[in-house]
Amino acid sequence: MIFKQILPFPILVILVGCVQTYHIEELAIVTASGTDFAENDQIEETFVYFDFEEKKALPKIVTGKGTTIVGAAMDARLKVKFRLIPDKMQLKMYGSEVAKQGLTPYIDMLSRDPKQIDDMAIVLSETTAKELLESQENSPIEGDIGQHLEEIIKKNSPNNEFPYVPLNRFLAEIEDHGIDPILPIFSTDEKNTPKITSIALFRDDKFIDKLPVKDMLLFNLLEKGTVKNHRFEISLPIEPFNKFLKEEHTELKHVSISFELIKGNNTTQIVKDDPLTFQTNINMDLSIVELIGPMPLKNPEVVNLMEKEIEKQFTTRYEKLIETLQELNVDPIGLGNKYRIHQRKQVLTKTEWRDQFPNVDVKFDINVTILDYGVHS
Amino acid sequence: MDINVQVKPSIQIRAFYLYFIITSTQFGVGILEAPAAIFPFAKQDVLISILIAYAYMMIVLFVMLLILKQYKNADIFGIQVDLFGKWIGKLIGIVWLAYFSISLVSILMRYIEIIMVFLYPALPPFVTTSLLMALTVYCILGGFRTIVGVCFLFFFLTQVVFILLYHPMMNLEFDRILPIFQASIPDLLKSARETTYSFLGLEVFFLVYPFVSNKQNLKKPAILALSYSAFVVLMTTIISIGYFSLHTIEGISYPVLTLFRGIAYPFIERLDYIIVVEWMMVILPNCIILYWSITYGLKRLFSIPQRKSLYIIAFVVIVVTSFYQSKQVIDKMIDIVSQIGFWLIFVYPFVLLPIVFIKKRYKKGRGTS
Repeated sequence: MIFKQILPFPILVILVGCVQTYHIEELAIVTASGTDFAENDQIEETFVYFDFEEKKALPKIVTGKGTTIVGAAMDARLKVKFRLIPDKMQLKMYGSEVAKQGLTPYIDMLSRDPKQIDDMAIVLSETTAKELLESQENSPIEGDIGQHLEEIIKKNSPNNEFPYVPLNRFLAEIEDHGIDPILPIFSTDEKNTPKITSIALFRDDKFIDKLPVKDMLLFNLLEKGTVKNHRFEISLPIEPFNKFLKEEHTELKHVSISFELIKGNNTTQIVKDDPLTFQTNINMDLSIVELIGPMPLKNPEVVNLMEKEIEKQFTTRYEKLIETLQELNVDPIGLGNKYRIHQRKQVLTKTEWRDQFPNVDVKFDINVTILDYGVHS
Repeated sequence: MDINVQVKPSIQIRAFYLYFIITSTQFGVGILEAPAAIFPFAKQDVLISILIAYAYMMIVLFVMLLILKQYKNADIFGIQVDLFGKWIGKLIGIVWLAYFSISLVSILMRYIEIIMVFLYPALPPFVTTSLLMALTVYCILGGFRTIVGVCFLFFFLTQVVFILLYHPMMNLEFDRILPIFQASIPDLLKSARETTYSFLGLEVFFLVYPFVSNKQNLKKPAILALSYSAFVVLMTTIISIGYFSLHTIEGISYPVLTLFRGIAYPFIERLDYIIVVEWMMVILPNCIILYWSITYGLKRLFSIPQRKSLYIIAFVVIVVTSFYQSKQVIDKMIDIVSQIGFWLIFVYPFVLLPIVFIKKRYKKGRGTS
């Protein structure tokens, strides 16, 4: 009887020996990788990796070529004395040439392989991914460029909005016909410091055009839910304020103000069917954090006028943005999904929304409230 | 064989534990792939399909109860012999045993496949099966009460993982879940039928009924168990639809495991690996119940002592699962299990019920004359 009771335990212990082991000293942990085209229809893949052999773990870079990404990894493997493992890859970068051809073939591996994580950030490089990732070697940033770029992205998106585009979201937006993805574009300056410089617009999986990084706020304000903790600057013409200002200030042209977005939320609805008209309401609660120029903020009329001017400026910017998007026929705002729900369709066909989108009308109603202006007026 | 089962009070259980037995049998590998399996027909309306399946399950449960109530203390094997006679009754009993066996093997094979895809591609399949079988046999040797204890314990150990789904839930696109009430009724029913594999496990009710000491309190835990599993399938499906693209969700093999792929904490970077291993705790009670059903059935039908069949079947299962087959074969097998399961569990009780009533009336009539 006692034999039967202890029998399972030796079996368990012996069987555990069959499990493969991974020793961290023998692994090279990839933190970022980048995909570019090479000659002869090949892919060149750049890996940023850590090895733990030396006392101080140092990031290193290796490249490989192949017709598939895994093939390129196998090629790179011939140059590294460790096993490259992608289990903690936090950033995937694509060269802009690759993105222009369409990312579907090159993102397949990320969705197929269960070793990849779903919250890795997807980014584009202004030039090639290799060039940007290799900038680590002679740039002022310390440590691993993969983590560095990932931190830049995550710290800039407190509520998981743009510029952080996780893999699962990107994959879903490529496939869905009612919304197109956007990605941040990195480029390096003359000192080799990487920086987010623009926003890449995609039509399905193809990189079409880019917008200045300043428009990031416009996209973020359209995010679902409440948007918080954003700072942005704005430049207002001084002319409407003239009657409140002293004589000597009236020759100034602009006043520059920085705001903290305390709370922002939005709703989008279809208000009319023919022509298809969307009504987007955006509410912003702001706090002034910096003001360059004379402004008697104690006067409530000035604050009210300032709110009106900001609303006006945002409305113009949004209208311009929509115009650009309609010209390019890309819909990163997801109006297509709203249309699908309005039409009570379960799935939208590919051409259906592309035909409609350039002709839709989008009206913006922006409501700004300045809550406070710091500790001195 | 006796139609009614004599259960010693020392191995009887309270009705309250029925909740854990039923949930443990329903949760398995099925739920991991449920959203992708259900989605294709009803699309966004799968929520309604799941509710239809849930309502139907409830009806089946009451039919089962009605059948069992006609006897003093019988299980399905006894009832069948009573209704159809010794030969046909035992033959249908064998069908049940075959269903339990193939279901057990399909669960093990699917789990082996998941381990291979997610963790150790080169791990020999017999390792996983042997580990599970050693624990299963050990547990069954402890008797029926130990089995119930394991179900009880592992329920609390495993259901915690669903709390972690708050993470994908935070970034859900509710746009994808709308619009509802668009699918046609045939599509809704087709999707409802696809839930079969994740809801199988109800049949254990037919077997453990004689073991329950306070039968008058039996309804509540059973209803709660079914509601809980329906709720979990519903939640994971909603989250999956909001998380994946409407066009790709059908192609994802294990949507629920993939949901965990995006969760990371500073102290633990890859949570999904832990979930895959943790799922062993879901599989284990599942295996134990099915395995117990097989040995118990053999004992009831052919008077083979459980102690003897226990080791032989474990050996057979390890050998069978060692020939690891491709995904297509496992998919096919699971398809067969859900086909048999559908007819056996969701249709067969409705056939049984009128026969039971006719037989009872016939007996009564003969008794008075």
